[in-house]
Amino acid sequence: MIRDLAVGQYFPANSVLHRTDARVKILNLLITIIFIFYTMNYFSLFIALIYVFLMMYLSNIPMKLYMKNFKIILFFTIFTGLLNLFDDRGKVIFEFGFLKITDAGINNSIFVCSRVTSLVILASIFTFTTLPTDLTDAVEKLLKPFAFININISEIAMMMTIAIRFIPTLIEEVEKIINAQKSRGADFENKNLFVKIRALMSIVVPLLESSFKRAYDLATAMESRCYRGAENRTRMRILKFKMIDLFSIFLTLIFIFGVVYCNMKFPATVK
Amino acid sequence: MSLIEIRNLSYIYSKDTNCPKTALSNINIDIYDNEIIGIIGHTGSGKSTLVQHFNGLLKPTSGGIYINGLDIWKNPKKIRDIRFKVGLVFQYPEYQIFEDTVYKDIAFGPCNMNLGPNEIQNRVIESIRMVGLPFSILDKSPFELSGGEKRKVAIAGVMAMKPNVIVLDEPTAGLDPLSRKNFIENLKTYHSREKNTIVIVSHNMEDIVEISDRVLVMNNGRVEMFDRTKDIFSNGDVLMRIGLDVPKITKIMFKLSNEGYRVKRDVFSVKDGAEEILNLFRCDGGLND
Repeated sequence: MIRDLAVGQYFPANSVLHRTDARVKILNLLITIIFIFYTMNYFSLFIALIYVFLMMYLSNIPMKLYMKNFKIILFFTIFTGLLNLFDDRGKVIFEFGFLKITDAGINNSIFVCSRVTSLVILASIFTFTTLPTDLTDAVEKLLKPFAFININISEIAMMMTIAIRFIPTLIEEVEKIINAQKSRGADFENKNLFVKIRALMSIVVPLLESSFKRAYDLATAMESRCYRGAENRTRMRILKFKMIDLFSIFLTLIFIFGVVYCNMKFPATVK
Repeated sequence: MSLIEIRNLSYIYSKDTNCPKTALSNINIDIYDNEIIGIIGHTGSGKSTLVQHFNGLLKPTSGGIYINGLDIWKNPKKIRDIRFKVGLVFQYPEYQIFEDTVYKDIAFGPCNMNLGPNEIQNRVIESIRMVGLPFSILDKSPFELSGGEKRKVAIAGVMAMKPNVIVLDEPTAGLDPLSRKNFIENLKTYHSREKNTIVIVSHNMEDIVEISDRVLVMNNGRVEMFDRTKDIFSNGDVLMRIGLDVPKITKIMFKLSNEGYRVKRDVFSVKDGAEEILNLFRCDGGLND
Protein backbone atom coordinates (compact mmCIF):
# COMPACT_ATOMS: atom_id res chain seq x y z
CA MET A 1 0.00 0.00 0.00
CA ILE A 2 1.87 3.11 1.19
CA ARG A 3 4.97 0.99 1.47
CA ASP A 4 4.91 0.65 -2.30
CA LEU A 5 5.83 4.29 -2.73
CA ALA A 6 9.39 4.00 -3.91
CA VAL A 7 10.10 7.74 -3.70
CA GLY A 8 13.25 8.48 -1.77
CA GLN A 9 14.11 4.84 -1.36
CA TYR A 10 17.60 3.43 -1.44
CA PHE A 11 18.05 0.25 -3.44
CA PRO A 12 21.14 -1.74 -2.53
CA ALA A 13 23.02 -2.98 -5.58
CA ASN A 14 26.52 -2.99 -6.91
CA SER A 15 26.99 -0.48 -9.69
CA VAL A 16 29.32 2.31 -10.71
CA LEU A 17 26.64 4.80 -9.70
CA HIS A 18 26.40 3.30 -6.21
CA ARG A 19 30.13 3.74 -5.85
CA THR A 20 30.23 7.32 -7.11
CA ASP A 21 30.75 10.02 -4.50
CA ALA A 22 27.43 11.50 -3.34
CA ARG A 23 28.74 15.07 -3.73
CA VAL A 24 29.52 14.43 -7.37
CA LYS A 25 26.13 12.84 -7.85
CA ILE A 26 24.29 15.82 -6.38
CA LEU A 27 26.15 18.29 -8.57
CA ASN A 28 25.69 16.10 -11.62
CA LEU A 29 21.99 15.84 -10.90
CA LEU A 30 21.53 19.59 -10.53
CA ILE A 31 23.51 20.40 -13.66
CA THR A 32 21.92 17.74 -15.85
CA ILE A 33 18.44 18.81 -14.79
CA ILE A 34 19.22 22.41 -15.71
CA PHE A 35 20.50 21.34 -19.11
CA ILE A 36 17.62 18.96 -19.76
CA PHE A 37 15.33 21.96 -19.46
CA TYR A 38 17.65 23.84 -21.78
CA THR A 39 17.16 21.40 -24.67
CA MET A 40 15.78 23.42 -27.57
CA ASN A 41 15.51 20.99 -30.46
CA TYR A 42 15.08 17.29 -31.08
CA PHE A 43 18.83 16.74 -31.45
CA SER A 44 19.67 18.06 -28.01
CA LEU A 45 16.64 16.31 -26.53
CA PHE A 46 17.89 13.09 -28.08
CA ILE A 47 21.26 13.54 -26.39
CA ALA A 48 19.54 14.17 -23.07
CA LEU A 49 17.46 11.02 -23.45
CA ILE A 50 20.57 9.00 -24.30
CA TYR A 51 22.18 10.33 -21.15
CA VAL A 52 19.14 9.33 -19.06
CA PHE A 53 19.04 5.83 -20.53
CA LEU A 54 22.77 5.42 -20.05
CA MET A 55 22.37 6.33 -16.37
CA MET A 56 19.47 3.89 -16.00
CA TYR A 57 21.62 1.20 -17.53
CA LEU A 58 24.60 2.02 -15.31
CA SER A 59 22.51 2.07 -12.13
CA ASN A 60 21.82 -1.68 -12.16
CA ILE A 61 18.34 -1.03 -10.75
CA PRO A 62 15.52 -3.28 -11.98
CA MET A 63 13.28 -1.61 -14.55
CA LYS A 64 10.26 -2.46 -12.38
CA LEU A 65 11.25 0.13 -9.79
CA TYR A 66 11.53 2.90 -12.37
CA MET A 67 8.12 1.97 -13.73
CA LYS A 68 6.67 2.24 -10.24
CA ASN A 69 8.00 5.78 -9.80
CA PHE A 70 6.93 6.61 -13.31
CA LYS A 71 3.37 5.46 -12.63
CA ILE A 72 3.09 7.89 -9.73
CA ILE A 73 3.84 10.90 -11.93
CA LEU A 74 2.02 9.54 -14.99
CA PHE A 75 -1.11 11.58 -14.32
CA PHE A 76 0.90 14.74 -13.79
CA THR A 77 2.87 14.19 -16.99
CA ILE A 78 -0.23 13.55 -19.08
CA PHE A 79 -1.91 16.60 -17.60
CA THR A 80 0.95 19.00 -18.35
CA GLY A 81 1.37 17.38 -21.76
CA LEU A 82 -2.30 18.04 -22.57
CA LEU A 83 -2.13 21.65 -21.38
CA ASN A 84 0.87 22.28 -23.59
CA LEU A 85 -0.86 20.86 -26.65
CA PHE A 86 -2.88 24.03 -27.08
CA ASP A 87 -0.77 26.79 -28.46
CA ASP A 88 -1.75 29.84 -30.50
CA ARG A 89 1.43 29.91 -32.53
CA GLY A 90 2.30 27.67 -35.44
CA LYS A 91 0.33 25.80 -38.05
CA VAL A 92 -3.10 24.50 -37.00
CA ILE A 93 -3.40 20.73 -37.28
CA PHE A 94 -6.66 19.91 -35.49
CA GLU A 95 -9.47 22.16 -34.46
CA PHE A 96 -12.33 21.41 -32.05
CA GLY A 97 -14.37 24.56 -31.73
CA PHE A 98 -12.26 27.10 -29.91
CA LEU A 99 -9.49 24.57 -29.13
CA LYS A 100 -6.67 24.51 -31.62
CA ILE A 101 -3.84 22.03 -31.75
CA THR A 102 -0.85 23.35 -33.61
CA ASP A 103 2.47 21.80 -34.57
CA ALA A 104 4.19 24.09 -32.03
CA GLY A 105 1.78 22.75 -29.41
CA ILE A 106 2.65 19.16 -30.24
CA ASN A 107 6.36 19.94 -30.05
CA ASN A 108 5.86 21.72 -26.73
CA SER A 109 3.96 18.81 -25.34
CA ILE A 110 6.59 16.26 -26.39
CA PHE A 111 9.36 18.37 -24.87
CA VAL A 112 7.57 18.98 -21.59
CA CYS A 113 6.66 15.33 -21.15
CA SER A 114 10.14 14.04 -21.86
CA ARG A 115 11.77 16.71 -19.70
CA VAL A 116 9.54 15.96 -16.69
CA THR A 117 9.99 12.22 -17.11
CA SER A 118 13.77 12.56 -17.42
CA LEU A 119 13.83 14.73 -14.33
CA VAL A 120 11.93 12.20 -12.28
CA ILE A 121 14.02 9.30 -13.55
CA LEU A 122 17.30 11.09 -12.82
CA ALA A 123 16.09 12.01 -9.35
CA SER A 124 15.05 8.40 -8.70
CA ILE A 125 18.40 7.14 -9.93
CA PHE A 126 19.99 9.47 -7.41
CA THR A 127 17.92 8.27 -4.46
CA PHE A 128 18.10 4.62 -5.51
CA THR A 129 21.89 4.70 -5.60
CA THR A 130 22.68 6.99 -2.66
CA LEU A 131 22.52 6.04 0.99
CA PRO A 132 20.61 8.64 3.03
CA THR A 133 23.61 9.09 5.30
CA ASP A 134 25.87 9.74 2.33
CA LEU A 135 23.34 12.21 1.02
CA THR A 136 23.32 14.28 4.20
CA ASP A 137 27.10 14.12 4.45
CA ALA A 138 27.36 15.35 0.89
CA VAL A 139 24.90 18.18 1.49
CA GLU A 140 26.88 19.21 4.55
CA LYS A 141 30.13 19.23 2.60
CA LEU A 142 28.64 21.08 -0.35
CA LEU A 143 27.11 23.76 1.86
CA LYS A 144 30.35 24.36 3.71
CA PRO A 145 31.36 27.37 1.57
CA PHE A 146 28.15 29.09 2.69
CA ALA A 147 29.09 28.98 6.35
CA PHE A 148 30.15 32.61 6.27
CA ILE A 149 26.57 33.84 5.79
CA ASN A 150 25.79 32.58 9.26
CA ILE A 151 23.90 29.40 8.57
CA ASN A 152 24.66 26.41 10.70
CA ILE A 153 25.34 23.69 8.18
CA SER A 154 25.80 20.85 10.60
CA GLU A 155 22.38 21.60 12.04
CA ILE A 156 20.78 21.55 8.61
CA ALA A 157 22.47 18.23 7.96
CA MET A 158 21.24 16.88 11.29
CA MET A 159 17.69 17.96 10.48
CA MET A 160 17.91 16.21 7.13
CA THR A 161 19.23 13.06 8.74
CA ILE A 162 16.41 13.05 11.26
CA ALA A 163 13.79 13.69 8.60
CA ILE A 164 15.05 10.84 6.45
CA ARG A 165 15.47 8.55 9.44
CA PHE A 166 11.84 8.96 10.46
CA ILE A 167 10.20 8.32 7.10
CA PRO A 168 9.95 4.53 7.61
CA THR A 169 8.86 5.01 11.22
CA LEU A 170 6.07 7.33 10.19
CA ILE A 171 4.98 4.99 7.40
CA GLU A 172 4.70 2.20 9.94
CA GLU A 173 2.75 4.49 12.23
CA VAL A 174 0.34 5.46 9.45
CA GLU A 175 -0.30 1.81 8.64
CA LYS A 176 -1.04 1.09 12.28
CA ILE A 177 -3.44 4.01 12.58
CA ILE A 178 -5.18 3.09 9.32
CA ASN A 179 -5.71 -0.44 10.62
CA ALA A 180 -7.05 0.84 13.94
CA GLN A 181 -9.52 3.16 12.23
CA LYS A 182 -10.53 0.49 9.73
CA SER A 183 -11.33 -1.70 12.73
CA ARG A 184 -13.71 1.01 13.84
CA GLY A 185 -15.35 0.93 10.44
CA ALA A 186 -13.67 4.00 8.92
CA ASP A 187 -14.55 4.00 5.25
CA PHE A 188 -11.56 4.96 3.12
CA GLU A 189 -13.13 3.73 -0.11
CA ASN A 190 -16.33 5.75 0.12
CA LYS A 191 -17.04 8.08 -2.79
CA ASN A 192 -18.71 10.70 -0.59
CA LEU A 193 -16.26 13.55 -0.05
CA PHE A 194 -17.46 14.29 3.50
CA VAL A 195 -17.03 10.66 4.60
CA LYS A 196 -13.62 10.60 2.95
CA ILE A 197 -12.40 13.75 4.70
CA ARG A 198 -13.61 12.45 8.05
CA ALA A 199 -11.80 9.15 7.47
CA LEU A 200 -8.67 11.07 6.50
CA MET A 201 -8.87 13.24 9.62
CA SER A 202 -8.93 10.08 11.70
CA ILE A 203 -5.41 9.37 10.37
CA VAL A 204 -3.97 12.88 10.30
CA VAL A 205 -4.81 13.91 13.87
CA PRO A 206 -3.29 10.87 15.64
CA LEU A 207 -0.29 11.01 13.32
CA LEU A 208 0.36 14.66 14.16
CA GLU A 209 -0.02 13.99 17.84
CA SER A 210 2.41 11.09 17.84
CA SER A 211 4.89 12.98 15.65
CA PHE A 212 5.01 15.79 18.18
CA LYS A 213 5.47 13.31 20.97
CA ARG A 214 8.28 11.63 19.05
CA ALA A 215 9.95 14.96 18.38
CA TYR A 216 9.91 15.88 22.08
CA ASP A 217 11.20 12.45 23.05
CA LEU A 218 13.99 12.67 20.51
CA ALA A 219 14.97 16.13 21.71
CA THR A 220 15.14 14.87 25.29
CA ALA A 221 17.14 11.83 24.25
CA MET A 222 19.60 13.97 22.29
CA GLU A 223 19.99 16.43 25.11
CA SER A 224 20.58 13.73 27.68
CA ARG A 225 23.38 12.46 25.47
CA CYS A 226 24.89 15.96 25.48
CA TYR A 227 24.18 16.85 21.88
CA ARG A 228 25.51 20.38 21.33
CA GLY A 229 25.35 20.62 17.58
CA ALA A 230 27.43 18.44 15.33
CA GLU A 231 30.33 20.83 14.72
CA ASN A 232 33.76 19.25 14.43
CA ARG A 233 32.32 15.79 14.57
CA THR A 234 34.34 13.07 12.93
CA ARG A 235 32.71 10.49 10.68
CA MET A 236 32.81 6.79 10.28
CA ARG A 237 32.53 6.86 6.50
CA ILE A 238 34.70 9.46 4.87
CA LEU A 239 33.79 10.59 1.38
CA LYS A 240 36.76 10.23 -0.89
CA PHE A 241 37.27 11.40 -4.43
CA LYS A 242 38.04 8.48 -6.78
CA MET A 243 38.64 7.76 -10.45
CA ILE A 244 35.03 6.81 -10.86
CA ASP A 245 34.00 10.31 -9.78
CA LEU A 246 36.25 11.84 -12.38
CA PHE A 247 34.68 9.61 -15.01
CA SER A 248 31.21 10.65 -13.86
CA ILE A 249 32.08 14.35 -14.12
CA PHE A 250 33.55 13.71 -17.55
CA LEU A 251 30.28 12.09 -18.70
CA THR A 252 28.29 15.06 -17.50
CA LEU A 253 30.62 17.46 -19.30
CA ILE A 254 30.16 15.52 -22.54
CA PHE A 255 26.41 15.71 -22.03
CA ILE A 256 26.50 19.48 -21.46
CA PHE A 257 28.71 19.97 -24.47
CA GLY A 258 26.39 17.85 -26.63
CA VAL A 259 23.28 19.76 -25.59
CA VAL A 260 24.86 23.19 -26.02
CA TYR A 261 26.38 22.24 -29.38
CA CYS A 262 23.10 20.91 -30.79
CA ASN A 263 21.24 23.96 -29.52
CA MET A 264 23.61 26.24 -31.38
CA LYS A 265 23.97 24.18 -34.51
CA PHE A 266 20.30 23.42 -35.21
CA PRO A 267 17.28 25.73 -35.17
CA ALA A 268 15.17 25.74 -32.01
CA THR A 269 11.86 23.91 -32.21
CA VAL A 270 10.50 25.14 -28.87
CA LYS A 271 10.70 28.56 -27.32
CA MET B 1 -21.41 -24.63 15.45
CA SER B 2 -18.33 -22.58 16.12
CA LEU B 3 -18.42 -18.80 15.91
CA ILE B 4 -14.99 -18.33 14.38
CA GLU B 5 -13.56 -21.14 12.37
CA ILE B 6 -10.04 -20.96 10.99
CA ARG B 7 -9.01 -23.58 8.49
CA ASN B 8 -5.46 -24.21 7.21
CA LEU B 9 -4.64 -20.53 7.46
CA SER B 10 -1.18 -19.40 6.36
CA TYR B 11 0.12 -15.89 6.00
CA ILE B 12 3.33 -14.70 4.37
CA TYR B 13 4.56 -11.11 4.71
CA SER B 14 6.05 -9.40 1.62
CA LYS B 15 5.12 -12.37 -0.47
CA ASP B 16 6.02 -10.90 -3.84
CA THR B 17 9.40 -9.55 -2.85
CA ASN B 18 12.75 -11.25 -2.60
CA CYS B 19 12.50 -11.63 1.19
CA PRO B 20 9.16 -13.28 2.03
CA LYS B 21 8.58 -14.07 5.69
CA THR B 22 6.17 -16.72 6.86
CA ALA B 23 4.25 -15.32 9.81
CA LEU B 24 1.58 -18.01 10.20
CA SER B 25 1.53 -21.53 8.91
CA ASN B 26 -1.36 -23.91 8.82
CA ILE B 27 -3.49 -22.57 11.65
CA ASN B 28 -6.65 -24.53 12.52
CA ILE B 29 -8.77 -23.27 15.38
CA ASP B 30 -12.39 -23.03 16.44
CA ILE B 31 -13.72 -20.40 18.79
CA TYR B 32 -17.20 -20.84 20.21
CA ASP B 33 -19.85 -18.40 21.31
CA ASN B 34 -19.57 -16.85 24.79
CA GLU B 35 -15.98 -18.01 25.35
CA ILE B 36 -13.02 -16.04 26.61
CA ILE B 37 -9.89 -17.07 24.74
CA GLY B 38 -6.41 -16.08 25.87
CA ILE B 39 -3.61 -15.99 23.33
CA ILE B 40 -0.02 -16.21 24.53
CA GLY B 41 3.27 -16.53 22.71
CA HIS B 42 6.66 -14.88 22.69
CA THR B 43 7.31 -11.71 20.67
CA GLY B 44 7.13 -12.43 16.96
CA SER B 45 5.22 -15.69 17.37
CA GLY B 46 2.39 -14.44 15.16
CA LYS B 47 -0.24 -13.47 17.74
CA SER B 48 -0.88 -10.00 16.38
CA THR B 49 -0.82 -11.24 12.80
CA LEU B 50 -3.40 -13.89 13.71
CA VAL B 51 -5.83 -11.48 15.39
CA GLN B 52 -5.65 -9.12 12.42
CA HIS B 53 -7.12 -11.93 10.35
CA PHE B 54 -10.16 -12.14 12.63
CA ASN B 55 -11.67 -8.91 11.33
CA GLY B 56 -10.28 -9.04 7.82
CA LEU B 57 -7.47 -6.49 8.11
CA LEU B 58 -5.17 -9.09 6.65
CA LYS B 59 -6.16 -11.48 3.93
CA PRO B 60 -4.81 -15.01 4.39
CA THR B 61 -2.24 -16.13 1.84
CA SER B 62 -3.98 -19.49 1.90
CA GLY B 63 -6.74 -21.06 3.93
CA GLY B 64 -9.90 -19.43 5.19
CA ILE B 65 -11.76 -17.81 8.07
CA TYR B 66 -15.42 -18.51 8.63
CA ILE B 67 -17.58 -16.46 10.96
CA ASN B 68 -20.92 -18.10 11.74
CA GLY B 69 -20.03 -20.53 8.98
CA LEU B 70 -19.61 -17.84 6.31
CA ASP B 71 -16.33 -17.24 4.53
CA ILE B 72 -15.47 -13.62 5.34
CA TRP B 73 -13.49 -13.18 2.12
CA LYS B 74 -16.27 -14.49 -0.11
CA ASN B 75 -17.26 -10.93 -0.92
CA PRO B 76 -14.28 -8.61 -0.28
CA LYS B 77 -16.49 -5.54 -0.74
CA LYS B 78 -18.48 -6.50 2.35
CA ILE B 79 -15.42 -6.84 4.56
CA ARG B 80 -16.43 -3.69 6.46
CA ASP B 81 -19.45 -5.54 7.87
CA ILE B 82 -17.11 -8.11 9.40
CA ARG B 83 -15.36 -5.33 11.30
CA PHE B 84 -18.63 -4.48 13.05
CA LYS B 85 -19.06 -8.12 14.05
CA VAL B 86 -15.48 -8.57 15.24
CA GLY B 87 -14.15 -5.53 17.10
CA LEU B 88 -10.37 -5.29 17.28
CA VAL B 89 -8.60 -3.19 19.90
CA PHE B 90 -4.98 -2.67 18.97
CA GLN B 91 -1.95 -2.46 21.20
CA TYR B 92 -1.71 1.03 22.72
CA PRO B 93 -5.12 2.00 21.33
CA GLU B 94 -4.88 5.46 22.88
CA TYR B 95 -3.00 6.59 19.77
CA GLN B 96 -6.06 6.16 17.55
CA ILE B 97 -8.13 8.86 19.27
CA PHE B 98 -8.71 11.84 17.01
CA GLU B 99 -11.98 13.65 17.74
CA ASP B 100 -12.19 16.81 19.83
CA THR B 101 -14.45 15.34 22.50
CA VAL B 102 -14.51 11.92 24.14
CA TYR B 103 -18.16 11.55 23.17
CA LYS B 104 -17.48 12.06 19.47
CA ASP B 105 -14.56 9.68 19.50
CA ILE B 106 -16.54 6.86 21.07
CA ALA B 107 -19.36 7.60 18.63
CA PHE B 108 -17.04 7.22 15.62
CA GLY B 109 -17.60 3.45 15.32
CA PRO B 110 -21.39 3.53 15.78
CA CYS B 111 -21.59 6.47 13.33
CA ASN B 112 -19.79 4.38 10.73
CA MET B 113 -22.46 1.73 11.27
CA ASN B 114 -25.09 4.34 10.25
CA LEU B 115 -27.08 4.00 13.47
CA GLY B 116 -29.71 6.53 14.54
CA PRO B 117 -28.70 9.38 16.89
CA ASN B 118 -30.60 7.93 19.86
CA GLU B 119 -29.02 4.53 19.47
CA ILE B 120 -25.58 6.11 19.20
CA GLN B 121 -26.12 8.09 22.38
CA ASN B 122 -27.28 5.00 24.26
CA ARG B 123 -24.28 3.04 23.13
CA VAL B 124 -21.79 5.77 24.04
CA ILE B 125 -23.25 6.06 27.53
CA GLU B 126 -23.40 2.32 27.98
CA SER B 127 -19.81 1.75 26.91
CA ILE B 128 -18.37 4.60 28.98
CA ARG B 129 -20.01 2.96 31.99
CA MET B 130 -18.65 -0.40 30.94
CA VAL B 131 -15.04 0.77 31.05
CA GLY B 132 -15.63 2.49 34.38
CA LEU B 133 -15.25 6.16 33.49
CA PRO B 134 -17.49 8.97 34.82
CA PHE B 135 -20.02 10.56 32.43
CA SER B 136 -18.46 13.97 33.04
CA ILE B 137 -15.56 12.88 30.89
CA LEU B 138 -17.70 12.76 27.74
CA ASP B 139 -17.46 16.50 27.04
CA LYS B 140 -13.74 16.72 27.66
CA SER B 141 -11.09 16.72 24.98
CA PRO B 142 -9.40 13.32 24.84
CA PHE B 143 -6.03 15.03 24.76
CA GLU B 144 -6.36 16.32 28.30
CA LEU B 145 -6.90 12.84 29.75
CA SER B 146 -4.30 10.63 31.40
CA GLY B 147 -2.83 7.68 29.51
CA GLY B 148 -4.99 5.12 31.33
CA GLU B 149 -8.18 7.10 30.76
CA LYS B 150 -7.35 7.51 27.09
CA ARG B 151 -6.94 3.78 26.72
CA LYS B 152 -10.32 3.19 28.36
CA VAL B 153 -11.90 5.68 25.96
CA ALA B 154 -10.32 3.89 23.00
CA ILE B 155 -11.59 0.52 24.23
CA ALA B 156 -15.06 2.02 24.81
CA GLY B 157 -14.95 3.17 21.19
CA VAL B 158 -14.76 -0.44 20.05
CA MET B 159 -17.24 -1.73 22.64
CA ALA B 160 -19.78 0.82 21.42
CA MET B 161 -20.02 -1.06 18.14
CA LYS B 162 -21.38 -4.02 20.15
CA PRO B 163 -19.36 -6.60 18.27
CA ASN B 164 -20.12 -10.32 18.70
CA VAL B 165 -16.44 -10.86 19.26
CA ILE B 166 -14.08 -8.37 20.82
CA VAL B 167 -10.38 -8.92 20.31
CA LEU B 168 -7.96 -7.10 22.62
CA ASP B 169 -4.27 -7.05 21.72
CA GLU B 170 -2.31 -6.59 24.95
CA PRO B 171 -4.84 -4.29 26.57
CA THR B 172 -2.99 -4.11 29.89
CA ALA B 173 0.50 -3.35 28.54
CA GLY B 174 1.96 -0.37 30.35
CA LEU B 175 -0.80 -0.12 32.96
CA ASP B 176 -0.01 0.04 36.66
CA PRO B 177 -0.97 -3.03 38.76
CA LEU B 178 -4.16 -1.51 40.16
CA SER B 179 -5.45 -0.37 36.76
CA ARG B 180 -4.56 -3.76 35.40
CA LYS B 181 -6.60 -5.50 38.06
CA ASN B 182 -9.53 -3.12 37.57
CA PHE B 183 -9.38 -3.62 33.86
CA ILE B 184 -9.60 -7.40 34.13
CA GLU B 185 -12.51 -7.09 36.59
CA ASN B 186 -14.35 -4.71 34.26
CA LEU B 187 -13.78 -7.01 31.33
CA LYS B 188 -15.29 -9.91 33.26
CA THR B 189 -18.36 -7.88 34.16
CA TYR B 190 -18.64 -6.77 30.55
CA HIS B 191 -18.48 -10.36 29.40
CA SER B 192 -21.13 -11.59 31.80
CA ARG B 193 -23.44 -8.75 30.80
CA GLU B 194 -22.92 -8.86 27.04
CA LYS B 195 -22.62 -12.63 26.70
CA ASN B 196 -20.24 -12.14 23.80
CA THR B 197 -16.92 -13.69 22.91
CA ILE B 198 -13.63 -12.18 24.02
CA VAL B 199 -10.18 -12.88 22.64
CA ILE B 200 -7.36 -11.41 24.68
CA VAL B 201 -3.68 -11.37 23.77
CA SER B 202 -1.35 -10.85 26.69
CA HIS B 203 2.16 -11.39 27.97
CA ASN B 204 0.87 -11.39 31.50
CA MET B 205 0.14 -14.97 32.59
CA GLU B 206 -1.75 -13.82 35.70
CA ASP B 207 -4.23 -11.94 33.49
CA ILE B 208 -4.64 -14.92 31.20
CA VAL B 209 -5.26 -17.35 34.04
CA GLU B 210 -7.65 -14.98 35.72
CA ILE B 211 -9.90 -14.42 32.76
CA SER B 212 -9.70 -17.03 30.03
CA ASP B 213 -11.63 -20.26 29.55
CA ARG B 214 -9.23 -21.61 26.97
CA VAL B 215 -5.71 -20.62 26.01
CA LEU B 216 -4.08 -20.64 22.60
CA VAL B 217 -0.30 -20.94 22.70
CA MET B 218 1.51 -19.67 19.61
CA ASN B 219 5.08 -20.52 18.74
CA ASN B 220 6.90 -19.52 15.53
CA GLY B 221 3.70 -18.97 13.60
CA ARG B 222 2.15 -22.29 14.60
CA VAL B 223 -0.38 -23.37 17.18
CA GLU B 224 1.64 -25.04 19.90
CA MET B 225 -1.27 -25.85 22.20
CA PHE B 226 -4.93 -24.91 22.39
CA ASP B 227 -6.71 -26.20 25.46
CA ARG B 228 -8.50 -25.35 28.69
CA THR B 229 -6.54 -22.86 30.81
CA LYS B 230 -5.95 -25.41 33.55
CA ASP B 231 -4.48 -27.98 31.17
CA ILE B 232 -2.26 -25.45 29.46
CA PHE B 233 -0.61 -24.19 32.62
CA SER B 234 -0.08 -27.67 34.00
CA ASN B 235 2.34 -28.08 31.09
CA GLY B 236 4.74 -25.62 32.66
CA ASP B 237 7.83 -27.14 31.08
CA VAL B 238 6.45 -26.84 27.54
CA LEU B 239 5.62 -23.19 28.15
CA MET B 240 9.07 -22.46 29.54
CA ARG B 241 10.71 -24.23 26.61
CA ILE B 242 9.11 -21.86 24.14
CA GLY B 243 10.04 -18.78 26.13
CA LEU B 244 6.82 -18.34 28.09
CA ASP B 245 6.04 -18.62 31.74
CA VAL B 246 3.44 -19.79 34.21
CA PRO B 247 1.94 -17.51 36.90
CA LYS B 248 4.28 -16.84 39.82
CA ILE B 249 2.10 -18.75 42.29
CA THR B 250 2.08 -21.78 40.01
CA LYS B 251 5.86 -21.62 39.88
CA ILE B 252 6.02 -21.65 43.68
CA MET B 253 3.74 -24.69 43.75
CA PHE B 254 5.91 -26.47 41.19
CA LYS B 255 8.97 -25.80 43.36
CA LEU B 256 7.29 -26.97 46.56
CA SER B 257 6.07 -30.12 44.90
CA ASN B 258 9.52 -30.79 43.43
CA GLU B 259 10.94 -30.48 46.95
CA GLY B 260 8.59 -33.24 48.05
CA TYR B 261 5.77 -31.28 49.64
CA ARG B 262 2.34 -32.66 48.87
CA VAL B 263 0.72 -29.71 47.10
CA LYS B 264 -1.36 -29.55 43.97
CA ARG B 265 0.51 -28.45 40.85
CA ASP B 266 -2.46 -26.86 39.11
CA VAL B 267 -2.83 -23.83 41.32
CA PHE B 268 -3.19 -20.56 39.46
CA SER B 269 -4.44 -17.97 41.92
CA VAL B 270 -2.75 -16.59 45.01
CA LYS B 271 -5.85 -17.36 47.05
CA ASP B 272 -5.83 -21.06 46.13
CA GLY B 273 -2.08 -21.17 46.64
CA ALA B 274 -2.36 -19.78 50.16
CA GLU B 275 -5.09 -22.29 50.90
CA GLU B 276 -2.92 -25.10 49.62
CA ILE B 277 0.07 -24.07 51.77
CA LEU B 278 -2.12 -23.65 54.84
CA ASN B 279 -3.43 -27.15 54.24
CA LEU B 280 0.13 -28.42 54.51
CA PHE B 281 0.31 -27.19 58.08
CA ARG B 282 -3.26 -28.13 59.00
CA CYS B 283 -3.07 -31.79 58.12
CA ASP B 284 0.59 -32.43 58.81
CA GLY B 285 1.17 -32.96 55.15
CA GLY B 286 4.52 -31.23 55.36
CA LEU B 287 7.76 -33.11 54.89
CA ASN B 288 9.47 -31.88 58.03
CA ASP B 289 6.63 -32.57 60.45
